[in-house]
Amino acid sequence: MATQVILDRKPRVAQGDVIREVEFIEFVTEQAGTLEISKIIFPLVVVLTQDCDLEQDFRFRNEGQAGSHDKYLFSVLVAPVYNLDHMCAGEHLSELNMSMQSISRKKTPGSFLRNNEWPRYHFIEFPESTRLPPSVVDFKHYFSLNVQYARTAKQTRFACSLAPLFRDDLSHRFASYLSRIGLPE
Amino acid sequence: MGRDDFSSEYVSSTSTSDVHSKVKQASEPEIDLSKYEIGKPRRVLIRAKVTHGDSGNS
Repeated sequence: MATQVILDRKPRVAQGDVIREVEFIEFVTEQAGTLEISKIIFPLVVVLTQDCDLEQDFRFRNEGQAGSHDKYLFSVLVAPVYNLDHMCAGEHLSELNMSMQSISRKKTPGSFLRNNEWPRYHFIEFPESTRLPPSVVDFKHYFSLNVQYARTAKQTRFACSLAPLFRDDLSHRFASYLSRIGLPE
Repeated sequence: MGRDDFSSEYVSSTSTSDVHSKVKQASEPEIDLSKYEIGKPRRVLIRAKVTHGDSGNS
């Protein structure tokens, strides 16, 4: 079943927002007067931060709650959304010189992926209106964005937002993945 | 290119001699798949010389 999405853009960043061309700063160094900045540009990410936290952050910043900054966030958590075809070929990070495990689409691993039976991954089949291909969120690759940067990115490069039930499913699966008990090899 | 665009092109370019190939072409996906592509993450490295506009001695 295709994931349902909302194409209208809220003014604030919301959980489940899908945003294009998002930059992640890997590192910044300064040596002998030369500044070096390395960044990775992700074609697509989805916002994972709890929606009520995002809503409160937005309200406190815009309405000014009597000088209180209690609800301000430092960052917005996101995870990359990869093209399913690239991922199955194990080539989705080839431009970062990273070789990834390939996944057979027609055999059990591909079926596990599409049915969201693999805790690390979250499959999204976008509706045609979004003009986005079948995609996969990789929870292991989550990273954070500066709040203001996330807002600007949404304003200029918003793709769509997952509809509430699908957004909640994403959020629960991410929380479950992050809180898993790591067993020794 | 949507379905309507393709159909109009198909109608205007059809001839009796190659009708079979045209029919085959028409049954292929009408969606321009390249527009559905998500690229791959890429790395950008920026190097910049740090300059000091103000010596701080004023």
